[in-house]
Amino acid sequence: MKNRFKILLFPLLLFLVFTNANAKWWIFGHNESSVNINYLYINSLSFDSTKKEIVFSKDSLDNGYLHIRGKANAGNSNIARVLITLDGKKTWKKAKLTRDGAFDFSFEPKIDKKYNIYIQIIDTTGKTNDLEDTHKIITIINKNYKEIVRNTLDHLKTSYSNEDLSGFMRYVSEDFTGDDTTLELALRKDFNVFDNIQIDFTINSIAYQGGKYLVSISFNRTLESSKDGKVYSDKGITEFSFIDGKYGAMLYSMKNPLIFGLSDAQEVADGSVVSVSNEKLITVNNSGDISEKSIADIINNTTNSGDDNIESGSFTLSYDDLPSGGNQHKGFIFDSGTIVDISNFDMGTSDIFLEGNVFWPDSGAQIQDLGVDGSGNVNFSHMSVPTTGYDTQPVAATNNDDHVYAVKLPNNTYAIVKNISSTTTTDTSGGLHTSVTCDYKYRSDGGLDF
Amino acid sequence: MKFLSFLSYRKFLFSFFVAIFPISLTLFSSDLDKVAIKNDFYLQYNDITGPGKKNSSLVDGLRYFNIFNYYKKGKLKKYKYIINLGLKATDNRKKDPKDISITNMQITLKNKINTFRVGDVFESFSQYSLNTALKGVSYRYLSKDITNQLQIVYGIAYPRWDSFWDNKTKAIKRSVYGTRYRRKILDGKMDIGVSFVYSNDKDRIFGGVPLYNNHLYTMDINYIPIPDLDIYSEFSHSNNTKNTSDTTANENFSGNAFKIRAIGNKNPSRVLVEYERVSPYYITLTGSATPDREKFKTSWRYKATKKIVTHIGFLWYRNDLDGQLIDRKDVYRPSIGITYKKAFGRRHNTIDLTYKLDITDTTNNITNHIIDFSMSDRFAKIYNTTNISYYSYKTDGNIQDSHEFRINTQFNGKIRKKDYIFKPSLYIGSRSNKDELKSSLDKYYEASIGLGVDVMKYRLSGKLKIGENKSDRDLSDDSKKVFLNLNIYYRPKIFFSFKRVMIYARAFYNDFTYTTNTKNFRERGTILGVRIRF
Repeated sequence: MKNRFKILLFPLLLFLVFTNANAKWWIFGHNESSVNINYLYINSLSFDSTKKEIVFSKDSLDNGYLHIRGKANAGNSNIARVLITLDGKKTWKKAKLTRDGAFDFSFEPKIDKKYNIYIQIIDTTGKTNDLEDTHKIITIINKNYKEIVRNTLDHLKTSYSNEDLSGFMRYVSEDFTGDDTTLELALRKDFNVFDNIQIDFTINSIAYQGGKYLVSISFNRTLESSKDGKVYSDKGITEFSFIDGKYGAMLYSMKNPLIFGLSDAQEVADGSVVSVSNEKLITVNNSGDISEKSIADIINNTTNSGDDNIESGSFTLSYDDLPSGGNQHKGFIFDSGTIVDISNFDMGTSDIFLEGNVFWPDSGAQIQDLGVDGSGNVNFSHMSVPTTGYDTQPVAATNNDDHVYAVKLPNNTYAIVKNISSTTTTDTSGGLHTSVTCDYKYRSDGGLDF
Repeated sequence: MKFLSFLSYRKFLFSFFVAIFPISLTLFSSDLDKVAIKNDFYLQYNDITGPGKKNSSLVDGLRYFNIFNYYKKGKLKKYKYIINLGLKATDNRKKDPKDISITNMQITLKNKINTFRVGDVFESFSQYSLNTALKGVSYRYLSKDITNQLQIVYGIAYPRWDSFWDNKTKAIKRSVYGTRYRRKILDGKMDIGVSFVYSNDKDRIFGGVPLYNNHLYTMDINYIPIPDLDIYSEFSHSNNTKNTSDTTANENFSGNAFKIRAIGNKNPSRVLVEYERVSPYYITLTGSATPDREKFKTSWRYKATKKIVTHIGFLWYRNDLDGQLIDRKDVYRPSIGITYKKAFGRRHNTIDLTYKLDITDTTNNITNHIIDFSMSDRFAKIYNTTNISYYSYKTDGNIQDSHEFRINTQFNGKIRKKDYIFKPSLYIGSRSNKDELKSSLDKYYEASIGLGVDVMKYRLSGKLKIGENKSDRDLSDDSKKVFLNLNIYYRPKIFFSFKRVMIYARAFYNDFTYTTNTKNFRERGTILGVRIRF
């Protein structure tokens, strides 16, 4: 808490320091002119939501034209004229104006020419608006939206492969949904973890409308761990969205599986592409360790605790009385996600195993039944495990559907298991045969939140 | 001949067909001035050798790749129409799981008020509600005075067209229905939008990936109360049904998301203040939001003088909004920076200095410090950019304690000699990473030189780059990569009736060597392609 207080002091101090400068940041709206613009659009883009420099593809033109449309007011007086310059105040042209202050101006821009636009609104008393507020530099490039997106993706890929952070961030929108500062930190960590980054991609699908792009790509990549030199390869399908901006298409959002910013996937990614092409994918956990995970694990990590150290899945364990008099058990190891055979109480080889109608903790593990999912604080989707109450004694496994168990392993890591279904049969010679299917989550870092 | 020997008869025929297909289309088109056809076709031959060749990201042998785009614009009574079609063909399975696929398919029919779209549609509503493309249909009504807008959309959120019919590219089938009405009020100062989006998942691809049934009710407001101040706010409620597996009962839950952002932008300052709260049970499958987050963000960019710009920022977010977690996580990211232009009286000089602090307050606290310094300048015809960075990463509980230092400098020149433009470049970079916990020091070096040449007279350009990077690791294998890239582009002046033609050739060589010799491999590749625009 003390730490938090110190951190909050930081911006406060900066604030105090900077207010001594001649920073008239508090004067928004204190325009000496009484002529104001209510709204202003260039084609479908609002002037306020865009940066000073905008690059349009020729596809975004309306039949070759750009339209500047807006509405102005002048308090008690009326708007007399609206003038627009396309060449940085050298020449001015009149916009169509209606009595209520709405105006409209269209022109046919030339490809690759830079237009220095200002809009001057003059009321009947001769007052004008602040010209600088309307300043935009617009360029129409001779590329269709597919080429523009391709150009941005190529640039992002090259910057990422060259570990060029500022080059990469140049093509990221300030409105990036995962937060641009968070992405920047994630990229720094990626560059710390990876060497010899090689990414290849092709565009699967692309859509453009109203200044926004949505692109699906197939990718394959090879990375070298900077820690141990081990080479990792994967391939899959993912999606990006972009918005029009200074350099054409600017990165707006990314989905899992990520190819940029893997070190903080939970914050950086927005949604996931679940396709058969996404099987084993490269991930980086909070400690900077590289591993390969299924898209299911990536999604569960993202939507639940958000920790990259969680693995999840399902298992089915069986128990069979053998006619010869022995038993055949199946056990489960959380760390590796594997099912092992346990014949005739060959214990010490699993974390839990099924014997008859019960689960036995094994190899020093302890277990407790937390009750039915959805009761009290028990919520398999989003919960914490207790640190006490574990036992080396078995818990009911059959006829215990929807019960959630917490398992504590000897290395002080935890797992939660949800009992999905079970079957119990007895053969003609009286031998018992049981089977139990469960979902599980395992946290390798000792964390308690799932 | 070795190159051609890899080109099987069947592959050659197919490549020929792919290359000739766009030409045949132009011959049958009756309205050439409104049709644009582009085609990019190349053949790539890779030779990968060495005991570690399985680590190469390339495919051995000869492969083709083709991208085709068709665009047609015209008039149909009072409506304008646009047809867009994109196709991709390749036999490189690392590039794409299919030989031929559709990359883009869309028909647009519009007048000043109504817009109909079929195919790839992207009706973006707002951040929380709908911000994804669909394969389906959409309709948009925009009143003449742009004060009223209605959007209706239906489609499937597949990442590829062939996900509809091919098991090789199967994906979760997410059907989406959405509608949004937006209206300008207060004399145009305020925009209010209300939207409803329903999505329904089918076709489980992997066990463990939940399927959702999601209803989103969203309202977004954009308000400019005074000039230079833009306030955006959005509220969304989601009702969700989650199905984790075929054998489990559905879970029903609901949540809310709220965001407000104010941007004041008037010289000399730009100030941003943003607050967001997304409950743990708020799910959006068609928009963007991270559940279980409360976030506050502010930044201030101040142009103190013509030469000096300062910027400060602060980001805080936390999880555990419902108090169910034991390890609540609070993240604080303050930053401060200064940009100084024309330092030392130099016209092209720019200096940037930034400090960032990254703190995560949780069971094992994380404290990272980041300092960046960069300087760019121009000396005669040579541009230089130098970056120096220092990072300190520390996570309590002996999880991480390391320091990283990076420095790189790059020189780029542009020298014109008659009809030739020479573009020499030099890059030198180094990185060291000291791990205090393992008492190890890893070092990385990279150096490369390049030379680009443009001969405008002959419409020819090319670039050669040669370099080496090396990783020296204390506790594991060292590695080294020697690389060479050569790119040549040629644009013939007139080539039949094509508007533009580009012929290009690329060659590359990468030699990877490791301390463990069995990991070594070499890649040699050549690409020959032609890009045509009709």
